[in-house]
Amino acid sequence: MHSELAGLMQDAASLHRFVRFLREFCEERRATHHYLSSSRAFFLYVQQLAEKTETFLQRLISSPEPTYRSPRAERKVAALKRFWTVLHWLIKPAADAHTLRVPVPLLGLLERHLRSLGGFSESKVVTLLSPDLNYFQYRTGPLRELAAQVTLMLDAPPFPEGLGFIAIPYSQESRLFTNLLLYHELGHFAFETEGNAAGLLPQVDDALTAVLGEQFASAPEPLRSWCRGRLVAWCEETYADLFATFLIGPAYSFASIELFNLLALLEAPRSLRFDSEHTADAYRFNEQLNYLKNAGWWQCLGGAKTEHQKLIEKLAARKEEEYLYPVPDIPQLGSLLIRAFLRVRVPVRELVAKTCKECAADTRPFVAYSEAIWRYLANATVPSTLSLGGEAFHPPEVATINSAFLFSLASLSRLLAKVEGYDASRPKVSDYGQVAGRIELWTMKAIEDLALLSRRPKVG
Amino acid sequence: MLSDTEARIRYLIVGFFAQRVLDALVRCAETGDAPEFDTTMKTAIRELQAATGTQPEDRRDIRAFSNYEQIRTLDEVRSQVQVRNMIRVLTGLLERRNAKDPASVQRGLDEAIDFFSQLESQALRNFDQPVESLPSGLRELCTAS
Repeated sequence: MHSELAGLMQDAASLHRFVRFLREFCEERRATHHYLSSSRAFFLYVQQLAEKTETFLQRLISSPEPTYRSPRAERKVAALKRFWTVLHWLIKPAADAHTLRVPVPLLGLLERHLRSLGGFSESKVVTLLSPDLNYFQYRTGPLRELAAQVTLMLDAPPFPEGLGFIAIPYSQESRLFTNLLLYHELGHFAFETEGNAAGLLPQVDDALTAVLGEQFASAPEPLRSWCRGRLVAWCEETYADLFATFLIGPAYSFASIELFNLLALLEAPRSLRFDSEHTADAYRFNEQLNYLKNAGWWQCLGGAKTEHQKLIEKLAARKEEEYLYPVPDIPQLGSLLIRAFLRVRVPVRELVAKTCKECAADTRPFVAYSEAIWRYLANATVPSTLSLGGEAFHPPEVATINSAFLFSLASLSRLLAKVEGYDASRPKVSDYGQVAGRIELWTMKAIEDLALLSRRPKVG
Repeated sequence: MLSDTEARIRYLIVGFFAQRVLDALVRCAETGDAPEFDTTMKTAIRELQAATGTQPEDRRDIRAFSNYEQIRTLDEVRSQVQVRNMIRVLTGLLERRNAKDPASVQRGLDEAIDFFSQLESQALRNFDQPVESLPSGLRELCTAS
């Protein structure tokens, strides 16, 4: 064999082995574990793509086509290797997220919520279990575009329509409340699917020109694109937060406090700091609180404020002038970019309202059922069917989640007092943790029940 | 910070885009034409125009140079002036059938092959070793305010 072809053969064979392993891995997982339909669709795509890759590699070795000859052929193998590295990152976390390891009732609710929004009826979300202690969404736009390029090269099936990827930290797999942060990730997916980044560009450019003047308008494209990138990323974060708050109410803000506390993000100056992709937590809570007050949620939460509520109000009250975005060696640039960004937040709020207005979380069921839900939880009972005035009612899922979260924050002692052997004068951390975990389990069970029962608004 | 995975995906899109353009150029250089040559060149021209800020307002169908990481990859290979020159070269290749001097078509193909080969290599390098760097000229942006 000619030495050039020998090198190509070695490269191609190595990629062939790698791809075949991933294909067989997906086949084996699909056969031995149970997954949500979104994950199954993803595994099937990987398997089909693997077959096409294997065929392509053989063609590369044997075809007389000029573009298949070395060194072009070697470059194609090099790019394909990297593409499969990207899939490799996604496959294992997706395979780990079988239905015994993820909060299935919550994911079901999430998907129902998503599909009830206009334009998302075919959308599906693949859950990943991540080693990182954070939630995130893989932007599917770039992945889809990358896959489209590969599809052209391999003559392979297209990337599944409407598929998104959301990662849960593996330590939170069975939790309900912190996993409400998935709604934020769903917001990223919605922002991307609606093409809002491109849609907001005229407003972003106007804001940057208004603040930075002609210097921005006449700047070279890499510089303009960097500035735009910051503002669009901050717009997307704002959108994702408001999207979650619209759909799930204050429970989303409480869940954010839980996670940010765990990550020690809430102390100043950290809470005031923007980074290149994220807004400051103080700004985030300001936006959420603003919406929750306008929607009437904040007023419904009761008189005695929980520590979470107090913290949200404290962070939201920080002045805009205090926000920071440190750009190395150019201290004044950060505040200019933040000033430009704050000019665009109204269009972002309008975009969220347009997407979510039909499905916004309603305060009325919360007001109607929260007291009963608290009573059920205080008696260690799953609150999916409530008896009120001799009649049975099924509270909506969002009202149930918000009531249960608030109960867990404000009234855990009511349940603890009923635990045999519990001594209120010598409280134990482990007791609190255990009972809080139970509240989440019962609420999760209620969501599961309600998915079935809520088809009938009333029983009995 | 943009997640490492997302940044890498953005670089790799540029790599595959460059390969697609290269395939058409190489085939044309060897056989005198290539299927979908004109479509590929038109796409390449639009993408490069977007990367130099000369493309129309609507950027929705811009894929290879829709963000800073991708535009920076191009900037690492050639200056904005050189990219504008390449747009002219590619536009000339679209007119190759009417060219009076066949040697100039060959020169254009060679120049474009060199350009996109370097872009492809840079994109794969950035995929392998993604670095977050700021664009030059940021300080000057603050002078007007």
